[in-house]
Amino acid sequence: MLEVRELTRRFGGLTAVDRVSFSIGPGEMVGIIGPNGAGKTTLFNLLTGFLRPDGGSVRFLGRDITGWPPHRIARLGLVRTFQLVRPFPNLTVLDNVKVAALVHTPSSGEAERVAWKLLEETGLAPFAGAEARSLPVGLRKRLEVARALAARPRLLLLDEVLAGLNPEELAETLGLLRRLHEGGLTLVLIEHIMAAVMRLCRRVIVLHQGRKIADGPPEQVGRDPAVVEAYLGEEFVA
Amino acid sequence: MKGERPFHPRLSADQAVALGLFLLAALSPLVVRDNYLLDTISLILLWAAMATAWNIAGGFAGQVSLGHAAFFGLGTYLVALPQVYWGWSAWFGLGLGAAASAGVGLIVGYLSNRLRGPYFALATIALSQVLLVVFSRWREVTKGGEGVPIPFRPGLENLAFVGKGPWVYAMLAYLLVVFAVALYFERGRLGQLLAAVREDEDAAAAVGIDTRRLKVVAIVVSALLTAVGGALWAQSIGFVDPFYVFSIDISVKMALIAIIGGMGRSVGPLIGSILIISTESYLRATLSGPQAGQTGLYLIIYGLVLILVVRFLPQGLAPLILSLLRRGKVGA
Repeated sequence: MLEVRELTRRFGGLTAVDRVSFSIGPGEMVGIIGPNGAGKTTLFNLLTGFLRPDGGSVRFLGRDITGWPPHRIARLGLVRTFQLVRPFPNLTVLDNVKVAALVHTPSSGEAERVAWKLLEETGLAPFAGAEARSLPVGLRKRLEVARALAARPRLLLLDEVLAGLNPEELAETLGLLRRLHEGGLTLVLIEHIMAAVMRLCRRVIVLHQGRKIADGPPEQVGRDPAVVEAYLGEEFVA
Repeated sequence: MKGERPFHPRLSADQAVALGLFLLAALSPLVVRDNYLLDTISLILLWAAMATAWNIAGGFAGQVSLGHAAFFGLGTYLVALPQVYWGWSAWFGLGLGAAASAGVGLIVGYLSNRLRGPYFALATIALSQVLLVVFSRWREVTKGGEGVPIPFRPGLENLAFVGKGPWVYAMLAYLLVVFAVALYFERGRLGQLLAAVREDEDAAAAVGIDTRRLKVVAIVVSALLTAVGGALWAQSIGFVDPFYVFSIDISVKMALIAIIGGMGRSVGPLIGSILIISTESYLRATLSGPQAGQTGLYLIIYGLVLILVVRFLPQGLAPLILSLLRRGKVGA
């Protein structure tokens, strides 16, 4: 479904993403983890067209999307969320989702129906009329997911949607991700904290200093000496 | 409950105010006998329409242009020249100007994808100045710096009228068209997508919105409508002077009216135009030396008002005036 080959991006002397290759099959739920500065978000930016790679290629659904503008990649079904959530602050929660749905339908009524359905699914319906900026951060993260879902993803890239949630919000979001996955959506999660990812995903990719250092089931990755070394001094729960 | 969540909840109040203003304008030729006042009303309507057209690019798409005189000027020249050379109907020239302006708007639209903020504004100023040079120097075609007198052949078929009353209706008709288009850009499907682009361009692109194309569309429509305003203005005045129609004054006035009235809402430019144009008209009538008024005082007042509005009322005067109206209604 998604094939990433030798993807590379440099910032000055720093190679933020260094010849990273992997592929994601349909229906997978994959976690991408790594210490701060490992290149996780840069990788997402490269996949979704917000940054141009210095080398390598990205194929999605059989098409070479390297260098495509972000909106075309999103329309093809490779949709991302932002780590620092970016809902449209002065639009209502409903309109945030509706506007993404409008990309795929000329009908305002149809877009609104889709938006309501997604708000119910994500538990945001009670806040539909509130301006997005008035939501607490936990709900704003979920709104970011709801809006991304309205963009009709085939593969959803989630950038740290679990970080910073309180235990209750965390449980709700984990439930939401499981339901989406069971519904057939392919998911790739970036997380800094690993406990949840280790529980949720059957496959984990570890980045360190821009390189992929491990790729496999969580138990195996957790025992990998290179991974243990990369995370030295950090709390690690397998 | 679900149906009652409009995209812009305040819109109905805005529309009511706009409708009231249109009705007042439509009645004015029946009541008002003073030609100077009718002239002022025509100008208020014309500038309200052009500021509304400006607002489609500047307010709704966030592309602040200070070169809209380029489109206005193209409208004036392309309505004037075919009449002078071939005696064609002004309607033909109006269409020609609109088409040419849309073409130039397309170029400006692509510029807007390369240049942001002040750089875009500077590029638009440069464009209007280039057109000024072309039209004031290319004597063989444009008659050069002396300008172009338009032969007066009254009649609707030639878009020329005797007296002031018909012009009020012509300008009102133009304003209604522009306002309807602006409403679509405010609350229609396009408007909702543009709202997302204004709020956060990257986030909009991330859900699949083609932010570049939307901005280009807004600028092209804005340019086209502005050229129609130029054509109407030229027909009502009967003379085209390159140094006026391509001047920065014209560009700034369009932006100023929209900013002072309230950018990004359809009713803003209407309120802005009433304030600015009636003040200007009043000053022109009261100050003895028209030259002194033209060059000095206007600019000082413009500048002061602009600074005050941007500093203290970044949403423009529209919200303030609307809330005053509402309070008045509650009190009564």
